[in-house]
Amino acid sequence: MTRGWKLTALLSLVLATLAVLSLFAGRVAFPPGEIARAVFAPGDIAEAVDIIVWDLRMPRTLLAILVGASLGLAGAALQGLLRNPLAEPGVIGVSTSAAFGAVVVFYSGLAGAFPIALPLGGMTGALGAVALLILLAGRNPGVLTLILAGVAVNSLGGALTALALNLSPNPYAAAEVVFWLMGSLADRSFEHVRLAIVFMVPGWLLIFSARRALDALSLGDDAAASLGFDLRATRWLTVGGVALAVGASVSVCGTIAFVGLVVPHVLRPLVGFEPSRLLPASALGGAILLVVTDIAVRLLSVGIELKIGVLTALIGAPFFFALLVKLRRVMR
Amino acid sequence: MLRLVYIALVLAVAANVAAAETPRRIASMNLCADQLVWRLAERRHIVSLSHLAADDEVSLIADEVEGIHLNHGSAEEIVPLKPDLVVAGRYSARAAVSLLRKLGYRVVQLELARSVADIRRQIVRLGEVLGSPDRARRIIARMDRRIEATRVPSSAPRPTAINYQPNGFAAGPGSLIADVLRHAGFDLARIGGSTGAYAHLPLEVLIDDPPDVLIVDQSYAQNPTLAHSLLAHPALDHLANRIRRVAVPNRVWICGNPGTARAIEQLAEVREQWAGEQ
Repeated sequence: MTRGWKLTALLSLVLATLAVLSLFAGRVAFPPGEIARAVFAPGDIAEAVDIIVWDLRMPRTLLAILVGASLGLAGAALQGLLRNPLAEPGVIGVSTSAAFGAVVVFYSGLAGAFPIALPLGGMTGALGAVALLILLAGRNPGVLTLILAGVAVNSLGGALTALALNLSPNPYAAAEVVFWLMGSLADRSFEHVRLAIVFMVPGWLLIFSARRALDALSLGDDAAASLGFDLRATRWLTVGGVALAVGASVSVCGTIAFVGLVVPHVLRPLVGFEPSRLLPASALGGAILLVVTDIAVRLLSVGIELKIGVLTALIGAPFFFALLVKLRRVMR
Repeated sequence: MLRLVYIALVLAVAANVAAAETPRRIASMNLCADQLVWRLAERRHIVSLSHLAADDEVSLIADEVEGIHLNHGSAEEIVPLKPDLVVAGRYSARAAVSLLRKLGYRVVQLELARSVADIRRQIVRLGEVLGSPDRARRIIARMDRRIEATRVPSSAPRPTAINYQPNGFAAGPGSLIADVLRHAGFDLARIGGSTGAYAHLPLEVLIDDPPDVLIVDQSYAQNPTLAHSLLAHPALDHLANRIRRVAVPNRVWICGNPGTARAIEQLAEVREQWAGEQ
């Protein structure tokens, strides 16, 4: 118990430090003193610094934390529920389907009329994907079944997105959605933060409320049921929470892959393989990973902006390979 | 008698040559070509235009082309029309263009116009191809008169401007937009170190070093787009008290066109207002 507390404190400290550092990173370099003044004494500072810190870098950092936490948490929750280390919103098609939901809402004009429709669309897509996945792969899928079901859900989501773009009367649609699907936190505003947070926090709470059941579930369905956990309720709490968190993330930031795969995997040994302890650690770890990558994206972008989803995918893919090789040995 | 037959023959051959040189069934497959063909050729000689010609977000002739056959850039739509000349863009409908050439159709490809001088050259060239060089000269003269009327003295102060487009792209020094701005009495603000037609301009850089005038593209603004949401960012609104923001419809400069003179006129007015406030 004490070790878990220490880990949480350490991760929180790292996250807080990085979040502050993130305010200093950007395309335009300002003296650190000026940024600090803009934060603590807004108003008596050059207008440009004020706008850049408060309207651009603050919402960006907050979104990196919110989205990273959501993706880390969703990965850990899905892995606990499906008892499978490869379950991740991006790998199994949840993100792609959320993107489809968001694209439909956006280009139908609904999002323009009611901004809240955008995350709702994303969540509907995400929920549909998880439901379809469980229908296809069953409640306790093997690695291979899960991956195949994921491929199927992914390709359906991609095809539907392509169809929506194909039918869109707007000639910009295809190009901008391709960019948007790469995932980015650049130039977001507090409106995006507000839009995301009202769905993410309930999603997190749903997932956390299932943590004891997920612990029990790691012993097997029967064991969990005999311990008095309602497996149906657990499944729906987790799936609903994942849909809320991932749907809201994707609808404001596009698809950012592999965070939910890398983070829980790295942290699992540190929390004694207990899902209930892995959940908060993964949320913090996901936030840290995304804040770090977002700082890296800003420092590495020269000329054309590098998209954060591209960078996480480049980090995540080799990790995924390594994980597969390891699993192959275990399965043999 | 023989002499008369001879003359008749010569006349017939000459008429034939003229017919071969002056296309009678013209199909255009590119928005920019559409608008030039529309001005330079007789309407009865135009068998098809691209569908974008009828889209008033991007086309200056949208309300004139009713009843004209519209194509979507595929060879299949063009072949049944039996055109004797196909006009296409350098970069659009490439597969269709190479197929049409293979089938023996005469295809003329237009380059992108990157300056007002390019527009003049294109009008001259297309005027020759379409057999209407006089009309081409008249169009150029009219355009030049409009541009001349907006000319500002070289001693006048020149505001800086940026054309900010969806997805955070800005028109660069090598673009038609930059040349239009120069003609209207502006200097293009520095956009990174770019010399090309487009450059990515992060919002942060724009806000740190804002131009005097920010020109935003409002086309398709009534249709929601992700790309346009950047132009609605609160950070840009907060900048509003320091810079002038104007909307220029994309259709006046998406193509190099005699109508581009409208963009110069509109921006010259903006410059006047700006100079009045200084």
